[in-house]
Amino acid sequence: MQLTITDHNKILRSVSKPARYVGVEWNAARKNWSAASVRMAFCFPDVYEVGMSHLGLQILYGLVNNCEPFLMDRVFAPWPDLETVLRQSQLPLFGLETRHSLDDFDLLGFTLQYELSYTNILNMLDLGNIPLRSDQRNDCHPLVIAGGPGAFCPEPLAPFIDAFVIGEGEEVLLELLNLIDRHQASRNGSRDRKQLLLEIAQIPGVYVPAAFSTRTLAGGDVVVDTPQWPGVPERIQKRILKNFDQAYFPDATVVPYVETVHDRVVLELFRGCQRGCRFCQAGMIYRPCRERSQDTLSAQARKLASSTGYEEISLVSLSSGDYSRITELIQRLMSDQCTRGMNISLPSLRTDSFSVALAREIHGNRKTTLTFAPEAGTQRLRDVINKGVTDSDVLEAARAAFEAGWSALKLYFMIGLPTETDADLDGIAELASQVLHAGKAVSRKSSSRRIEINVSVSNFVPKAHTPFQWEGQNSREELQRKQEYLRSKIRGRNLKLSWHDAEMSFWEAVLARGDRRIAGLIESAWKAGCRFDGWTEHFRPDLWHQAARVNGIEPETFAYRRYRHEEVLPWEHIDCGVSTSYLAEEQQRAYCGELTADCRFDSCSECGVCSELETALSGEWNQGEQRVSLSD
Amino acid sequence: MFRYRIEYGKQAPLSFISHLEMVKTWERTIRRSRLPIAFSSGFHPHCRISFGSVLPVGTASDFEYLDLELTENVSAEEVAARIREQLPAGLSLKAIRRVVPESPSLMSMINIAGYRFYAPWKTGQQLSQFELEERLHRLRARESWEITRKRKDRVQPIDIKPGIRQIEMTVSAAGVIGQFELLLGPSGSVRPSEAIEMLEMMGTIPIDSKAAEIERIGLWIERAEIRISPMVLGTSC
Repeated sequence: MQLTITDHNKILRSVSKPARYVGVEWNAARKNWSAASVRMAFCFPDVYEVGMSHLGLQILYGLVNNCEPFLMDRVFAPWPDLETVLRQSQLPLFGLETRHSLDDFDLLGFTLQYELSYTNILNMLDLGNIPLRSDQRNDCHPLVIAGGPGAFCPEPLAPFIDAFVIGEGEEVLLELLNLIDRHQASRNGSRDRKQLLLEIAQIPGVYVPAAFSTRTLAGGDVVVDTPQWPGVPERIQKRILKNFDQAYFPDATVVPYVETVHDRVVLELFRGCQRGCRFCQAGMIYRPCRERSQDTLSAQARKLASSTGYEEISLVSLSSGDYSRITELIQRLMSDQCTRGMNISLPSLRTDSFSVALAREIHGNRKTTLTFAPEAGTQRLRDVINKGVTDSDVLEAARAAFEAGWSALKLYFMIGLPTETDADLDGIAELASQVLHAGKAVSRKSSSRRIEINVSVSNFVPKAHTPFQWEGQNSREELQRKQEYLRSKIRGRNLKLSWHDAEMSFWEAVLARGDRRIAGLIESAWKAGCRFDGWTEHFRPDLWHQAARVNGIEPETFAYRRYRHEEVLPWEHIDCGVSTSYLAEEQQRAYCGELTADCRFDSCSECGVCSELETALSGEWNQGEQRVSLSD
Repeated sequence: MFRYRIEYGKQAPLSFISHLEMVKTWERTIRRSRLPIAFSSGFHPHCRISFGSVLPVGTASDFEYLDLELTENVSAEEVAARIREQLPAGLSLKAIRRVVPESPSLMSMINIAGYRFYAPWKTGQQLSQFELEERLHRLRARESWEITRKRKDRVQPIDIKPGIRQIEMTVSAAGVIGQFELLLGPSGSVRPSEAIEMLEMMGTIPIDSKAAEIERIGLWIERAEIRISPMVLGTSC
């Protein structure tokens, strides 16, 4: 059904931030429902402001709506005030632009960006009148697919999702839509669900859980076994764009009315990162590194600046300062007629003085907080995680920042990393105080600005497809003890400490490495009322623990579990291209504190991704610019 | 500097975006139009656009005003045409006039706002026009119209009678259609939703004020009992 204008207005009148749901943003596609042959809703399982900041949404939205026969609408997790209105008035969750209820669409695509948004997926399906479990849906229900980093460990959601898309979605989504289009065209617009899934399971990079059998091991582990359907490979290999430079990128992105987290033009400088930090999932699953050329980027910037009217451009990547011609690119954007005068932001800077010089170039006199991420407090532990940053890098970068006029710095660390001891925590306190002293020394020389160091501490969560995938998480009590320890060490009026809730990190870990048993837990937690679990004000650990008891699950056995190498991992059937032997070797090197170099600047570390996916690094790192060419 | 005054409308669903969101929308619209907009000086330069009176979220209107300044002399027709191309559906440019540069700001001149509303009867309750007039008469006879206003943590009583005038209401089968004027001043003004709630609570008129649909039907500059439109005062051809 389509929501009437009257009902829509009634909803808008009764929620706290109606601009989230108006659906007529500038550059919104607003395609004709009846003229489209396949209608898809991009479903973001978090609130509008978070979802609209997601570049993947903007890319796929533009891509699909550019194709004549396809329509893509957007749906976000309804904030609790909207959920109340919908349930009280018995209205379904609807697409923002078409106002059609979720069960009117042919295809729903969820993005899995964060584990603690999974209950929102169930809530959205339920509000859209769609049975939660794949095997309860019939031919009339939309097909429910999911992609994003969470799809690399799909089992906790496997019973709810008809098909997962592994890896980069630009090509495979169009293949999927074309297949559905052909399927529906040959059946007068209707679908044969079983047949369609059989066909979809043949598309490379698509994992259909129903195509596989599962097996319960003696210890209770549920592992994915062999494929039961014809033409389905044993392991689903991720999809990747081989020509990233020429890959689709939208000319006109949707401009929200509500201020979103990233409310600006976004350019994607490159995809992938080869730095090889051993805890980092993004650094493994998005390999290899592929750069976009300066010409492509500057053309995209011009088009987006004039189509959106934004006042700022953000240069995003996993580590934007690593773009081979970053200085030239910034200078080009600052002198181009179309983008001149726009603010430029670099959200992910490395810890070195070059990055500070860059920040200085783009910020001018506007001094926002600079963030550095040493990740660990001692050289020993930084070597364990392969961070490749030294104390002197941190201090030099900090000194350069203070000299350039910054007075507030944020230092980002992670605690609970493998091999960590209290000496490493002392290191965090020590490094923070050295940075503070460096700042005070500079500020005494110049003016008397108050120096402020914000130490932000998160908790290590072991992630699938990383060298630390076999590691266990520190217990909640241990993490809390470490936080308390840091609180006693990091004191003083110029030092501020903030930390991530240990209980929240615990549940992230449970979901991040879960097997199919976790699905029942997620469903019970949702039934008990869990929503927006990543939001402190909505997070209800008591309900999660209760849900675990109901399901006979000890969540600790998932979060704290240390896997042996010979054990079958719950994500074994997902192939991200990086070989398991490389990950295991990296884990060993971690214990020895041996660094592994970045293959963009050094020899190949044989992670296996290039040969496995028949692709290669693409970029200009070797002909890269002089890294000190910035004006003083 | 070249100053222009624009009369514009804000209709559903865009009437549900807040004032701040609308300010940003206008700035982006003008950036897209590539008009030579003037910027304020300082560390955070802003487009030189200034607005009349804040329109409450959810209220539609065809009588909103803004002034904008350009660094070059562009004809008013061209300014209007270039803005119209870039204006999102829901916002509409109704009229444009040049403004004498030294003319005082819209905000300082506009002092009267007119509203029309529709509010449904509470379930099972209804009045005749006669009964309604009688209750309005009694309401007008009261010395003060006290409501409570939430300010952060505390609730304070406030008399809104001096800020409201010209209340008129007509009954219909489904509810009432009403009209009133609010005085705008530097010391703050009554919110239209407060006025309607007052009619329900203090006037004992059985309407569901929470479900009221409100529309602004005018903003005026009034001096010595003469009222004129902002499109007239301070503007030239």
